[in-house]
Amino acid sequence: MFWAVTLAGVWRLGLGLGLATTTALLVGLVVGALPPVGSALGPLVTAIAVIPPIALLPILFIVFGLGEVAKVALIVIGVAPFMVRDVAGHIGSLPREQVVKALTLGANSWGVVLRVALPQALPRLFEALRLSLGPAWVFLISAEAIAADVGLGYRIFLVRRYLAMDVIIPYVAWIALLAVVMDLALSNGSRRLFGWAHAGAR
Amino acid sequence: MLNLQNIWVEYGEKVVLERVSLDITEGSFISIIGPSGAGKSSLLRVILGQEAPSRGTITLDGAPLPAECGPDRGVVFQRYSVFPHLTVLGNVLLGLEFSSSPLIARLFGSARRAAMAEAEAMLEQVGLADSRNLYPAQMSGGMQQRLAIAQALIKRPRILLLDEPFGALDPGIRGDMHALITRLWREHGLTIIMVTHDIKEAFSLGTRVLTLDKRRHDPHAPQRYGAGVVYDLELTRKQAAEPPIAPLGITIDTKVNT
Repeated sequence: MFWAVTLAGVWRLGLGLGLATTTALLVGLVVGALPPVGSALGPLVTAIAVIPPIALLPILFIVFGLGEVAKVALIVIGVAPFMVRDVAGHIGSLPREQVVKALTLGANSWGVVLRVALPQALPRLFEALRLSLGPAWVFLISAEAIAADVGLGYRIFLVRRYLAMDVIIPYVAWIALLAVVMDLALSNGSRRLFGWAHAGAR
Repeated sequence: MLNLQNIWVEYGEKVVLERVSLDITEGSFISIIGPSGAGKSSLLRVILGQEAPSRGTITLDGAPLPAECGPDRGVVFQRYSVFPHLTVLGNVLLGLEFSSSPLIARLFGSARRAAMAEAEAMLEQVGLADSRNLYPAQMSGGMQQRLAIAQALIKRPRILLLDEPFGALDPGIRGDMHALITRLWREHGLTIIMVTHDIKEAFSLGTRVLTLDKRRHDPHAPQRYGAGVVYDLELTRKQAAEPPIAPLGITIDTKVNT
């Protein structure tokens, strides 16, 4: 049961973060690299970002039912706007000189996005993902606490009524361990894949 | 070769450049000096095509120059000229990849090998052949500027624009870079336009020195008048010999123009 519970939680978390990351990369790249799109979409992203995601949870349950979709959707809605803004801001702040340089090297706009903006967005995306792990866990546990039949948050909130600290404390420690492992994996992955972005830290 | 006719650059009320007319001959090395805010970089951006002048025309060999950056004009900035996410070789390859593969901007197989050979030959010329697998963050400022020059020259531009390229370097390194740019200028038959703050550098490298400054000044509305070319010195042999020649074997090009 322990592993089933863990698997259910991590699966939801991974799916939510994966969708959020993909959204952040695509939308962030477009918003950051193309100023006209940025001025049109930027305020919308900001507006979504300022809504407390937990406040949307009842709506999600009503719209998507009590199944998996609502829980994953909560994680996506909770972390994606932050990541989109982070990636878009990073791309928007790339030195103008780099774009001019790429154009003088014969690039078209697509080439600039593909070879200049995208590779420099990826390490930032990893960083944003690491920072989003905390909030993502919060959303996962809250969604599971309210409506689930399996999951880490569900276990904790189920045994809460019996004041069963002997169950709650190990689960909390287990969640903490999982979070630390994910964080380390992301940071190591980023170092391995994008060594150039970490050259100053070594 | 490059002709500027009555160029004005205005940002709203603010006039940055006014009545700039220049005729730049092929193979010359133009140094542009002037106080801060005199529109040196604006002039460079106009020639680069990054900005369109608000009035006036620029022609290259008689044909109007489009107001967009293109591979016929290379550029080296003081900073941010190289891409931090690419190795030295990758930075130089990028120019070749953009032109021969517009859709994915990457080369494979024999095309890639040919491009790599070309890029390595270029790195050899700027003295970076041993550093081809380093990332820019692992290199000194002087090496980064060497890379930026190699990266620009791989496109075989006719005009190379330098925006204070050696401003952030140590004096010793700067001397090496002067020798390098002089050699590359001769070998590639480039036309170079360089903005600099260093008057000695301007005179020791250039065949022609332009000084930009405001001809008129209204103390109540300083933005009303823009800068123009106040001195335009062709360095003949006699003039060029007068300022002290920088060390490290830099020779002054005395050919007036061909």
